[in-house]
Amino acid sequence: MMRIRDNSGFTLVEMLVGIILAGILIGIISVMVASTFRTMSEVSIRKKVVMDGAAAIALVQREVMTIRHSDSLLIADDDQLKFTNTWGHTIDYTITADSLHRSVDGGTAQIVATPIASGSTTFHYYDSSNTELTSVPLDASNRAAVQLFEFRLNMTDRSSTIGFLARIFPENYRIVE
Amino acid sequence: MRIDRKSSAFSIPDLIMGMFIIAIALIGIMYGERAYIANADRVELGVRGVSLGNAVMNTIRMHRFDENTSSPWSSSLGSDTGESSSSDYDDIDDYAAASWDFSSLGYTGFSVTTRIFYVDINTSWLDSVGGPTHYKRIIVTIDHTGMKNSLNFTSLLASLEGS
Repeated sequence: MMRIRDNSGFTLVEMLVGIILAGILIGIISVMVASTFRTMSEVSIRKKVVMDGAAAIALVQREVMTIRHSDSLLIADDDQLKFTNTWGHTIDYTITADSLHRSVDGGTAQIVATPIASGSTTFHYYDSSNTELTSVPLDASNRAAVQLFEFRLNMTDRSSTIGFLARIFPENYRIVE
Repeated sequence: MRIDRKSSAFSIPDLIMGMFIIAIALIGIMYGERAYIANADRVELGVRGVSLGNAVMNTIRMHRFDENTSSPWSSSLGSDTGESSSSDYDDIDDYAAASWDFSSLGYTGFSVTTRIFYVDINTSWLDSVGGPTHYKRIIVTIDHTGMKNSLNFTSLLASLEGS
């Protein structure tokens, strides 16, 4: 039997070079793939936080618009806004350490937005001359003077803060019944 | 029996072709990732821009129609004598050329411009008609270098004497 082998396989040097090249290539690809997945995950989390923030802002804006007159404003603090809406329901927004909560008619508080930056998520109140009413919680005379509500919402993702702003002018608020 | 194996290994052109294909794929992944991030950024700026635009619009709308409490209304729009800052503004057209800065509230990079002008509800309710009428249009424009297009918000306000 005659066996002719033109190429009897890789030499040791070829094997080593091949392994090193393959290692480098696999290293680059795995780093890039990991980076892509990490980025996608971060972007996805941030998108969710942004959408949650926008939804919370829209909810607060829509409900504050339904305050009928100054008597309906029950508590106006920097971390709490409680009022009676057009349909006679009492809406209570409270800011805790990491969430914005909402309850209706004294019921169980539901989380509207989380996680938030509690120190910089605040309610503000302005009178008709754009002057902020800072003696919070506002007393009855100051509550009667409120013309514009401001809600600063700062949502947080893993690494940064995303700010939202709502200024709400309930157009029927000044109508005395 | 004769076994003849000429060459079973990759040739240099094979390797180069393989690496080229992998490089193209990696570049494609990078571009896709970049486009995904850019799109997410634009969506975020747009969503936040909408809340900012509404906030500015509501700030203006809380004021009365004009400096004068009855017609004839002011012929020139803008802040009036003695009104040097927003805390002095008491009617909507005081904000005609107001400067806004919301960077301290996390809106760094956003620019806000406001235009307020008289319109005629019968002939030109979109464009300025110059002289006083019973209607004023407010246009708030929000812009950011990261957004493809600016956001425009508009309101039409009527005086209580409007007919």
